[in-house]
Amino acid sequence: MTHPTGIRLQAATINLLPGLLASWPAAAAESLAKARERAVSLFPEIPLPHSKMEDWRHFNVSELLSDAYRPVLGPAEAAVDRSLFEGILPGGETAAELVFVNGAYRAEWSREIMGAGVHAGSLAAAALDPFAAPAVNGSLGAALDLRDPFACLNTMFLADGAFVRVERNTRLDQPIHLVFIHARPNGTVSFPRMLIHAEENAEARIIISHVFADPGASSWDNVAGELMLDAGARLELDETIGLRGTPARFLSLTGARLDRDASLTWRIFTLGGTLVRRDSRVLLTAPGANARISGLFVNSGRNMMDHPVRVRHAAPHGTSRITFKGVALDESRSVYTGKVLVDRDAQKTDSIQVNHNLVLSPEARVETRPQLEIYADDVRCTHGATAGPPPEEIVYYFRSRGISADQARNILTRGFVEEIADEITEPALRSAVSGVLAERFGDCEP
Amino acid sequence: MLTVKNLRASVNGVEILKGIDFEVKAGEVHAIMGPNGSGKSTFAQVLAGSEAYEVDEAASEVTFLGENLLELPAEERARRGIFLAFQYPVEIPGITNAYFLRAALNEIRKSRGEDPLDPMEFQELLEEKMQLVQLDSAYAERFVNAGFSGGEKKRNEILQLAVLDPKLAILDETDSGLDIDALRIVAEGVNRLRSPERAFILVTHYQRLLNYIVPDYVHVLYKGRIVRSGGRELALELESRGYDWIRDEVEITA
Repeated sequence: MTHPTGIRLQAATINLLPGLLASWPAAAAESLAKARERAVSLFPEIPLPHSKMEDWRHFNVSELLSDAYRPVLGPAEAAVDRSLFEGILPGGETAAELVFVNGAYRAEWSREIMGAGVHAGSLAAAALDPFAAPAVNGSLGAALDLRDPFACLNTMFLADGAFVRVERNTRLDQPIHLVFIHARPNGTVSFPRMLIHAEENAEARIIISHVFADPGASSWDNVAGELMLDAGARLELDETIGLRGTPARFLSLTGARLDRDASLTWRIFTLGGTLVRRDSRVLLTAPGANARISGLFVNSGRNMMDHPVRVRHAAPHGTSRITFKGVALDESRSVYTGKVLVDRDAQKTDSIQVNHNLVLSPEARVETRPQLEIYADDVRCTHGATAGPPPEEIVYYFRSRGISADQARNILTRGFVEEIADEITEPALRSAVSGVLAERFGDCEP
Repeated sequence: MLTVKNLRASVNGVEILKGIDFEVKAGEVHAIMGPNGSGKSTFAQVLAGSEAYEVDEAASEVTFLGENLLELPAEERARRGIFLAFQYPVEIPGITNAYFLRAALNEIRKSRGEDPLDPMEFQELLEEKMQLVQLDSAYAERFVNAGFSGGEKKRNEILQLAVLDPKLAILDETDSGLDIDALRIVAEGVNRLRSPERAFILVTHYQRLLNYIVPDYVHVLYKGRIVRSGGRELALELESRGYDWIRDEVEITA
């Protein structure tokens, strides 16, 4: 369904939002309605981002906000069919597969699970389900910072999404696959949403695939997600953006909250997009929590990609590892901003943050800003960053073995990107990501 | 095989090689010794085709198997059978030894008009050659030199030599920084690769290596020129008398 008129996120037109929201499909469930109301009341107080703000300095926010967008939920005019996601994990078996089109659950294409310690299905349905509703109530909004204007906007239009809950002491052997199909014409915005909750000592793997059906150049996906990890929970999350198709304007913010000894392994692959901001925020709330975030982005054309990563250590003995890699081609502009914040009480924090960028064109621009803000005095925190073409001394080493400089650069690029892809534990996904990388950088697989 | 006449090369306008004359025939092993800064590594790198040095092409003449070597880029020299074992092998994270070597070997085979080896055929060859330098098969899947010890890096260079099967192998201070066990492994590897078809140039600061690899000729490079040539006994003399002796003699005669 498509909203009759558009929103333009400018101070002068913000007043129109209540009118737009009034005609948005009502949230049948009280919990969703409440979350929306809260966002609606908060939104006017949040300053709209502009390029003078530190967090938005390097992102072309004015390009995003210069157009008006009609909100959509579910299939709009664009063609959507199963071929967009079928076979995306070749040969891979999943415990459940949930498919969403522009944020709306597509039950007939999905395989959900309910019971046996796991619930994976539509958020709207779960919020109405007497067994699942308390769990939705308890976790919705807990890990997302609504002071981010786009997370707040997503919540204002909250209607459906993915809901995954793995109950305490439950271990899922096979991954759950969440497929978000983005298929919309120009001038529309959708608000996909996900809520993932791993309870005490639960163990699960989740694969998120954002796929795209020829989106119009000014279509916008405004995604928000929440990850809740209770004490001792272990969650492995692989997320791809553009394994099939390429996004136009894609903003996604995910907040994660880790309780005592919880462990999050999170890999993000941004494989394309015209204007992309993938914002990841992790909060380690209790001692012994462990977050590993890896990312790989491939940026080409005149596209813009921004990857802000924030990890806050609020409790002692936490570990964080951030490894982001980028490949910059053509005239692309890429930004990585990593911030590790260590609270005064977070003694014995162990944090390593690295960002390496391979710049393959003299016209490509990369900004890398790994940052540390430490208020505790007994911590081990390091950060580092590099950006540049493949080192000439390495290229020469290849040449001295009979390999041309061009081929050397191809092989090096492939090796550079494969390092992150190799970390994927699910073989089907690993080969899918590897296949896309091979297409881009030549088939140099040994 | 290799004929070098009046080779002159400089870096940033400073002449390092000041007219080297040198000849290598198939099957020969030549040691090039000299004090630090004499131009030994420059000589090795210039032969391999490094672009870090400017070769005075008007004055210099280097022919390899009848071809003007100076006209060829580094990769073409490798394809024609020149191999340089680096003094400081680079680390290549993300690329496995097996992949790197197979890509290199297949480029060289392609230039000779031979079919590329598929991964299975290559694996067989690699495993055979790995025994030569006592590297266990796990090395094949490790990233090139990444996290290798100094000794492992040098052994890896010799492994590459064994796989790529060059006509002329130049070893640039392959012995430096090795403990005696690693040195012995490297030297044994080289000795087993000696053949009537293959020549070696061993660039070294120390005589020690020549206890294990017996050269046919020893040359002393000093201030960019070969100032002495002789047999193995020259190396022994250098060992007992040091480079000062050469320095004094050359300075006096000059």
